[in-house]
Amino acid sequence: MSSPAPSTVLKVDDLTVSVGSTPAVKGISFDIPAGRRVGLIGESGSGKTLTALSVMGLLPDGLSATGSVVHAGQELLALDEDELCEIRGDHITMVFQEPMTALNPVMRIGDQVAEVQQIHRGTSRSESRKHALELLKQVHLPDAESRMRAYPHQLSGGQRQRVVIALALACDPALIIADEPTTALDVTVQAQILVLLRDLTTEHNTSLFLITHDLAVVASICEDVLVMYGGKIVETGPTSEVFSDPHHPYTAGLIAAVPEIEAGQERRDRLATIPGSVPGLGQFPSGCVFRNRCDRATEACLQPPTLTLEATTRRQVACFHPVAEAASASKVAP
Amino acid sequence: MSSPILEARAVTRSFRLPRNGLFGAKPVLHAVREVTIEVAEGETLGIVGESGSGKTTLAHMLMGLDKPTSGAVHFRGNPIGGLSKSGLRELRGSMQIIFQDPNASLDPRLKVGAIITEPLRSLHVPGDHQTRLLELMDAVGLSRTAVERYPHEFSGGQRQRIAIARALAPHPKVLIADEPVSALDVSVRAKTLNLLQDLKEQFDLTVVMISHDLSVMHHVCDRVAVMYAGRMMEVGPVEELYDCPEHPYTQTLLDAIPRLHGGKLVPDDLADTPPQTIGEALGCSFADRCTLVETRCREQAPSLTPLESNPSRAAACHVGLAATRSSGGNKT
Repeated sequence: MSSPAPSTVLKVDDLTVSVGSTPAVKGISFDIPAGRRVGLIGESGSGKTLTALSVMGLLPDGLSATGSVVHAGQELLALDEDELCEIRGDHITMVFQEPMTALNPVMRIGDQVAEVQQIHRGTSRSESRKHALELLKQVHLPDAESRMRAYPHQLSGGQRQRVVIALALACDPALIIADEPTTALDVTVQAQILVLLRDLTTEHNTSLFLITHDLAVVASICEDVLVMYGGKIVETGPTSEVFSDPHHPYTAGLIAAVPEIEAGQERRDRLATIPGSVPGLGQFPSGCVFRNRCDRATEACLQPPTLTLEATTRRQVACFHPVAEAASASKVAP
Repeated sequence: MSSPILEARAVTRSFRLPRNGLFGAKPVLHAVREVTIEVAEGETLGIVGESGSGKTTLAHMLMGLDKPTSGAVHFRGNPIGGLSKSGLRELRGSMQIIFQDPNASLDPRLKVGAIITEPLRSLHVPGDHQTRLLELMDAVGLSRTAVERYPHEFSGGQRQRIAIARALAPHPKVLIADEPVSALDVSVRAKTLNLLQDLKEQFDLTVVMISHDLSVMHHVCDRVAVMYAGRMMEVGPVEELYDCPEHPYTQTLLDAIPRLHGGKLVPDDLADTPPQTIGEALGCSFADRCTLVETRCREQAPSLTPLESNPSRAAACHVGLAATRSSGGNKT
């Protein structure tokens, strides 16, 4: 077990990630509270994956991060590779989109899961194997005993993702970062993996930082959501509130663009769209990054809005002209 | 329903796999089994299914890109199996396909103009190709100057527009779209779906859309066909099929969709059990995962039968969810 759980497992402050000299993530700040599931939503080019990679110290060459990322009193951005290796896989772990590339193809899965504890805890081989079997049962891998001896290619995509989740849980981490963990899976398998992630993080009181482009995935398991656009966080708050009543025009636009199955409702002929397209790296406007696509933009938006806590809610919005009440928030009884 | 423009009659597609050992027969994988489906002129038919369900193989057979092992595909009442080279060329002009990944389906060394006019040249379409090119650029909402540029200069959404323009070039009657928006971001996806809708009306197209995304299907399609393990499980008008599915597999799929505005996620514990597609399967492919399973389900595969209550729908299930609903089960 890690030391007594602080109330915040990750504190990100003014994080900027630059590609060469062009910032792709522009001074974002957020906290991940202990035991909570936080979703990070964004389209391609929003900087969501770079945010996740910089937390883990996994940025590719040529990219640099400034600002501060604090976990358990440690400044992660200041750590060298050896020190990061002690954090990764132990205190903070990661689940990637493609489980086949995350697993070692020539190593039996039992050994792969056991290895984590051997490395980080110095546990004996037999003991860590016992623990590995326990973990594989926890992630509901069918026939866990015999599957300990299987190689990754002998498993289905969903089963592989279960093994990756077992790896991520091996050292009882404080935080799991999952980058598009279900994008490569079929819808029924996706539902299984999401429910598994939800239940296991609740059981172990682990925080989850889920990065995805799929709003509905976040809606189904995350308590809080961060919406990113153009390298900035434009809106945060409890997921159900943000999705039922979005305040930032970009969030509202995204939600309206998702086709939803509403029982007994007439299908809309056309989906709502956001004018224009996502600009390329370094081509976002000054001031509010969404200004050139926003129908509410005024001269005030030439200045960058700050993420401000709303008086009555736990929500933060970076907009001078927030959407007061989503006109289309016709709530359908479930 | 008007007479079908395209129909598959009991098509089966099997593949021989490599031998397992030194001896014994080569195992046979049935990608599509005995599928019969009609596509009415002007409708949008969706084919949904998970990976390995045979939806793409079926689409390829509908287009004549792949030949059925048994059964036949008919276009406007004529079988496409025995077509001559020139007959096939004519058919290709009438049926076009858009693929999932526009990065892979566009030649990186050709300029956009050459890409879009290529089918006009290869299919010997008469008329002025340059005029047609400019028409198409306008129709898909690309700037006319784009014809002189290369695919890599465009974003994913714009590249999919180029692929759509190319597919529309020879004035097709049927457009097959294989996961056309799966690789696109949320806001780009909405625009592309709207564009497809507009083009369908503008050019009187019949669309067959393949997707694993049930929300997208619900928005776009008039009718939806659900496939599992190579078999057609259920087919019917979209609203009725989604509101009140007949096949337990359709219900399983609908339960698994994450909903934007809350709603429960009901995972199927056996979702990861791959269905048997190799060798001869006795009984219903879904029997192992089914909550309504009875003895007869394991003995005989149910055939796709029209529902008594609504002949525009059909399901391949011995039991059926309607029966469980009427006997006290309540729908949520």
